[in-house]
Amino acid sequence: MLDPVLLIALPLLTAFLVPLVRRAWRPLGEALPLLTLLFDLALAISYVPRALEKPIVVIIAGWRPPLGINLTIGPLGIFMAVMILFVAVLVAIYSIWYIRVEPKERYCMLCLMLVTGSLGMVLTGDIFNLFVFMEITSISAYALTAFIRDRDGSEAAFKYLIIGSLASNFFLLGVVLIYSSTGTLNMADLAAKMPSVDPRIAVPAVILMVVGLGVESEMFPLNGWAPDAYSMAPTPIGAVFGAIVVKGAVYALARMLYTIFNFQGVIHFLVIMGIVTLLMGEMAALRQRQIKRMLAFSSIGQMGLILVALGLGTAGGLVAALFHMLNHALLKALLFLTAGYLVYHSGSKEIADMDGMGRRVPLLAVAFSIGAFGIMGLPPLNGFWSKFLVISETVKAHYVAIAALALVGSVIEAVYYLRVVGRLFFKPADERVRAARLPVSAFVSLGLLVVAVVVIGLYPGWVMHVLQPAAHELLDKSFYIHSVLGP
Amino acid sequence: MPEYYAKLLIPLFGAALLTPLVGRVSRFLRDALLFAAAAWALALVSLAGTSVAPWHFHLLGFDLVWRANPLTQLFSVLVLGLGVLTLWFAFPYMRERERANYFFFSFGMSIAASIGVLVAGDFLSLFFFWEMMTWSSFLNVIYYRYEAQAAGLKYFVMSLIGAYSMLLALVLVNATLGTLQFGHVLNSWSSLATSTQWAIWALLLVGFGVKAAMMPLHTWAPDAYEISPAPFTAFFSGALSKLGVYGLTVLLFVLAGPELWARLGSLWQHPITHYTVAWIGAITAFVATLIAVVQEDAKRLLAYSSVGQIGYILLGLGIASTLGVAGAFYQALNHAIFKGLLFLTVGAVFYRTGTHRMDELGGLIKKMPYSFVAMLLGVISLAGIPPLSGFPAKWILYEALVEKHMVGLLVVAMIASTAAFLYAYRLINTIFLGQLPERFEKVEEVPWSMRIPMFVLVLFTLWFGVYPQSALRWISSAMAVLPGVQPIQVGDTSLWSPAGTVNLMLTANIIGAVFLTVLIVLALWPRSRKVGQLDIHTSGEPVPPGVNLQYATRFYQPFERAFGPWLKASADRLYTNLAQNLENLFDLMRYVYTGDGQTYALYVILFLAGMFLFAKNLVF
Amino acid sequence: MVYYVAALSLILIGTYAVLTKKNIVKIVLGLSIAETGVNLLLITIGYVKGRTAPIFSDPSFRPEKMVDPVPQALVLTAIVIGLAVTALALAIVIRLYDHHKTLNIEKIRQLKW
Repeated sequence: MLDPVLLIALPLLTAFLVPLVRRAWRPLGEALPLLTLLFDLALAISYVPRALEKPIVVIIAGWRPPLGINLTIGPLGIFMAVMILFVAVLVAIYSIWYIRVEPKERYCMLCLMLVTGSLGMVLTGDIFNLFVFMEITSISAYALTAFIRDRDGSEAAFKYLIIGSLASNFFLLGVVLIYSSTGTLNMADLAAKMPSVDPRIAVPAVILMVVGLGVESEMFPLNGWAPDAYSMAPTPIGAVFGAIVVKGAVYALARMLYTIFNFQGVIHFLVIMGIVTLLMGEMAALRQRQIKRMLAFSSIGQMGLILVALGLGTAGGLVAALFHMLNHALLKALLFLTAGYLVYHSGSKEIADMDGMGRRVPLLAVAFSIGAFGIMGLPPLNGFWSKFLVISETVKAHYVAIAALALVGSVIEAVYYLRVVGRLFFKPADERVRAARLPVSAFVSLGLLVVAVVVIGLYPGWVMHVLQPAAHELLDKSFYIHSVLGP
Repeated sequence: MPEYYAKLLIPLFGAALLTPLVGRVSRFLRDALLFAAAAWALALVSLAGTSVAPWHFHLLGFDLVWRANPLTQLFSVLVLGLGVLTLWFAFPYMRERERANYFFFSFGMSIAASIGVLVAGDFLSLFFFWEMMTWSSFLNVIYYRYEAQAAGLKYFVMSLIGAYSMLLALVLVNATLGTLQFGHVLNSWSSLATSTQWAIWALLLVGFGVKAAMMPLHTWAPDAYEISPAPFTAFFSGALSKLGVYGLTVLLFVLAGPELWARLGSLWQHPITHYTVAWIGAITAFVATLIAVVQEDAKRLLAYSSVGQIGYILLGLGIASTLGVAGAFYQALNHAIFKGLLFLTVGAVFYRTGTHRMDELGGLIKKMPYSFVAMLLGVISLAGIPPLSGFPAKWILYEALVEKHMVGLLVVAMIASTAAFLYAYRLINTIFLGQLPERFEKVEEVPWSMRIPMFVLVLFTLWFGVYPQSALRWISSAMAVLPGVQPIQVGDTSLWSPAGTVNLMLTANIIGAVFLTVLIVLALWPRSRKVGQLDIHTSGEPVPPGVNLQYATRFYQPFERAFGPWLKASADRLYTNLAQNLENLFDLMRYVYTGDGQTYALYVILFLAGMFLFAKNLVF
Repeated sequence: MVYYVAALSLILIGTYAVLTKKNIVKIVLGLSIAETGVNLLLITIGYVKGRTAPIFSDPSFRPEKMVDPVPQALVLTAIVIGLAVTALALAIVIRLYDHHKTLNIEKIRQLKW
């Protein structure tokens, strides 16, 4: 039995080893990030049964909670960790031969740091630690946005940085406020003490934290950074943003709202923010000319749907939200990774220049279509089930109008995705576009994603075994408190 | 999965999924595989489709059920029968065309998904397969490259709107009754609030109405039918749109019977929900027929005709009496046969001439006599003339209207039926009669492989016209499944209704006798001289070659003059404009993202301030 | 008390700078100032008048004379993070200046809508 701390420590260690190893023996340096992530994924999966049974509480440096820093690996945490690592592994495979990312070692370092940060976010049991890991994630995300040293990349990164650090200031302020009134930073301890805290302190704290996390989780109107950052970062990083960074932030948001604060009003407020986010994202995506920008707005829209489900405050709603998070992570990763090669082969980011790619690079276009159909929620792909669950739970919670609006957003989404798919397959190709084959790495990563998308679509039942305990962990505060602090 | 459902669905989906792969190896193998799967499913459904135990299972916390009963058997046989025939027609049709694998993949998926829709005994499975059916038929609509995109997108978006209103209805049912199975709804129906009942009715009416091409939700149909390849159009119009009818049957008679619906209000002792559907059906029949008359494209004409004919089915369902429902089902069966037949003949003409615009065609009777006969019989059936299957269908419908004293509906339906003659005649006249354009001198009849499916359909329309009892017995057992209506009583030889009886065997015999007599007389005493088409004179001058002797363009000018102003009002244009304007409006939202980092920062601060302002409302 | 006021004013000043200054270097400064404000607030919470830092190696140290050590640990971390953010921001500013030849944020609006 290996120490669960390794989950976070390994990527961190490798991040700094990569440049050294590359100097020593280049092939190992190339493979090291992938191997680490694969090992990490295997490790995470090996913890799943135990975490489902009873949350694993890891005590660091011998200080028992609530005094020291601890990791709490419950069903929710392990679910998020496996999801993050799965996408990270696929992105790592994809990046092996991805052409645009040079210098490689910095890219690998930053990616591994980002994975470290988000794993830390989802596994930690300490609120300040959460802040630190969030900052690690965001700083590497800023740097990755500016990775291509062109004009637009820097601009996107700067905007991201302004909003991101403003938000993290607010988050820290929130942490300060609750520390001042409870004297503890341990999340379980906080959860236990929170009911007795004066609401005049608690309410500003929760507001500050919602704003702080809302930026990273693409809540409208805090998501100005997203379209720029997604479209200007190297394309695999778009997948990382959509599947890892944002999901980590949403996890943190859910953890704050459900486990620590549990103000029903704030939770329900998410429904409204979610639907506004969804509609804004879909509307803005409608006439985008650049494929990655369109995908970014679509991602905002999907996050809106997840926020709606999170805000319902019911067990079913949480299951739906987590399920949609998983599906969206897979689908958006698929879409971004295919978009990377679409951009590469057509030599342009504009959708208009991708005419006829379906005939030149059929596999790529088919993969993109599967992703698009999945996002639209067409059966038998995974998006169908989670979208259905979200809508069903929304209506069950008596938000019929919200559900109807979400479906309107879905129709808009279908329009712009189908326009792209139609272009890919049916517009006569530009002469410049040459027939091309995919490198093995891209083929493997896209293939795995498609398989995951279809398998979850055909057998949605088994995911529930993890999702239900995870939702339960969020909903049942005392369960979390007891498993960390002891009965 | 119990044996029956596995045996039914796995071959269908499997064959469809394998087509792209197998098609790369051998065209023949692909065709054989697909055909065998469809034929196997047809055999299975027609032999074992009534007496199957339902399969209950759990998924994601929902209790779901698949079942098979005479009602689904009726529609499954319709879908699969037409599917088998149109597939048969499609194999030679697609031989020379590119992307046949793509075509057959989406065709096979459509068939399989339609069977899935019929197997589903709960809303979730229904919705699952419904969406699959939508996207697979969408793939077929956009088969013809980029030009088809607009039609495809329209079809898809409208289907999606329909599917999503269905989704809202089903989650409403689930939220209020805690079940998704059709069968459970009836018992707990009374516990639903009136507003919920209305919502379910309206949402499902839109949901199924889109697929049935009910007015005013029909606007996708003309474009989609015109642009999709002909064999698929035949299936699309003949079978897929029937699933909308099936859905409406479920809504109006399975979820709750007419008595339960009548609690929402009734007009002249008639549930207002059903009455509305009847009027929608009648108006659909009337308006679509008028529009069909002025079309220049044969497939578009048939598309509007489809919309109109389905109007009759809705009318029958809306009457909500035994005769009405029986008539509706008869008309559904009948429409599948003759509309499949007509689309196939138009496809055959297109296969040889490369066009289905009526003003470019003409005089093909000598070149394609078999297709001519097929179309002639199809048109007769469409017009509702004995001894073909169109007659009993319309007869039952009219009897039902008379029985219920629905005079207004009867008048509208009669007018629509008469107007249908106009376009029906035009199909024959402008495609097969008249002057043969010179470029079609070398046109030949389509190969036998394509004639056979057409003739099978001809045989069916004859059979059901002469011997309607065979169909009615089947329909009667299907109706026995519906809790809301009594099944129709079927006599041995004649059709019966409170208003009168008709013996179609006798009618057919009389017509046959007259026909034969005339034929014998003409054969024995040929009195006429054969006249060539150009064997005429204009003021004593011989006709120079290339003069147009046939007026195929704007055939019904006087009609157009009379109805022109009304025909200009178009639901399609309204929707297109609406969609355009909405898109422009939605697009404005994009400008929130100004590109200025400081603006974004300002949003953050404003959001924070806003939350502080409303902090009181946030906490409870 | 004065520390609280100071910390809050620092946060407000910083935020004000981020929102209104057009020069991107000043915006970065504003972020830095706001962050200092938060850090100051954090320290202030742990501070008790008349007590001292918990340095155990000092022989004159007595536990009851000690302030809460946790905020100080937090502040150290927060300062490091702030440093990293500022460094990265300045690096990006340099690159932006290379590309745009201006530091005015209103001119740097290639990505919009």
